[in-house]
Amino acid sequence: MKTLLQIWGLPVLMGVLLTFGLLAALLGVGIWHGASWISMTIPVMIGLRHWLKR
Amino acid sequence: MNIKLWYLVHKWTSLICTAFLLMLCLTGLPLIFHEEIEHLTGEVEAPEMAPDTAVASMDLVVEAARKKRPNDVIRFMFWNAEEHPNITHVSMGERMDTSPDDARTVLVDSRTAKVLDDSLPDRGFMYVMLKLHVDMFAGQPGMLFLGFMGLLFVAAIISGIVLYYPFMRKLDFGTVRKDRSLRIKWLDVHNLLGVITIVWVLVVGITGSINTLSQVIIGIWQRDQMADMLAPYKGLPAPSNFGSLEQSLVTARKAVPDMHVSFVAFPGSLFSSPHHYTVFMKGNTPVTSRLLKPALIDAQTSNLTDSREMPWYVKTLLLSQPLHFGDYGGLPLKILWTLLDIFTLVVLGSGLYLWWSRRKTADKRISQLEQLHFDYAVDLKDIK
Repeated sequence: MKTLLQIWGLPVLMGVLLTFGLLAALLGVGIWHGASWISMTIPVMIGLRHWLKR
Repeated sequence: MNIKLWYLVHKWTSLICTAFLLMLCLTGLPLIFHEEIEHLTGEVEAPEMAPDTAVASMDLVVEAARKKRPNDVIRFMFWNAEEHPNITHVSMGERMDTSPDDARTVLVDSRTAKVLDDSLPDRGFMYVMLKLHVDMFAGQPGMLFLGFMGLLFVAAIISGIVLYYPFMRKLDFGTVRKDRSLRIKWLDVHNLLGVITIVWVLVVGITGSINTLSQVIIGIWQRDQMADMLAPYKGLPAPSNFGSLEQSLVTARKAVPDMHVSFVAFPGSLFSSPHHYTVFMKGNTPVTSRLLKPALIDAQTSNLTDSREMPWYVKTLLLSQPLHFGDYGGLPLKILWTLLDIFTLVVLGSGLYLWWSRRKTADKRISQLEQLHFDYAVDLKDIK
């Protein structure tokens, strides 16, 4: 049996990264756009990796 | 609420909205790139001129558009500084309240006041995608219906979040059991991609539903703030001769100095009054460029009547647009939007498959039971 933290830790982190990315591009310019792209790419890459790994 | 009840909520909200959400995700894909696609498919561009060429008086632009389509009225004028810095878009129609589908956009070179194009609106692939996505060719009721589907989708996501915990109690994050049955594999993919995309689908789903309320929200604004600003003109007869638009724009720029003109609603059109040019100003940052600020300019005297910040509900609508479209962070953000949209398609498709395969096993169980019952009946007859 897993604890709540073990189950929800990573999903919450992904949510934080996506939230940061969505807001950074809206509220900032220049470097904040770069930060937004990197931040949102991480959950997308993790999803692709787990889904497509053999 | 127990798990079984959450499961029922998840199943039924999903079942109702999935077909529409699949359509929305598919038609949304090309719409993410509509600017790029329009560039590629040869839209009209202004000719090259020296970069510091002065802009013509907008009165000349108005005259040129009217001469081109003498039987139409001008409803709006708008500019897109990023995509088409030298073009004035003039929206014309037979009447002020002509539906957007029948309106023509005349493109005028802002520097020479020469008409570049006044062809009919494009009814090609992108138009069909947009119409399906916005209202399924069913007007306001279709739009509100899709907004309701968006709310069901949000309910499906929230119930899905509740169900994630019991499903993952024995599994590591990201586990995809490929050595087990197809059903187990797709269950894992459904849970993995579903949980990763929660924040994005909630944002895009909720802002999409808010966007379906645009006409309702604008109606409230007209009866609320707009009516307030127009109070001094109440009961006055609508004028038929109007003064200089150029002069009105000068007034608007003076009234709202740190913003630039984005959109002008002509007297008698939606977003304006019979007496005014309503000039919508926009700022330079990603947020302020969305939060338009209206300036009401008396169309006869070119004097300022009033200019106020939009109320909170219009601001909510205006900020919901970029968060739904994903058009505020360059090409990389659009690519992320595409990938997250594809993830959502996989979650929807796998969800449908999970329901279908479980339904089939349920059917099999029922037919087994029926067979058993039949055999039993035959046995009974034999005994007799």
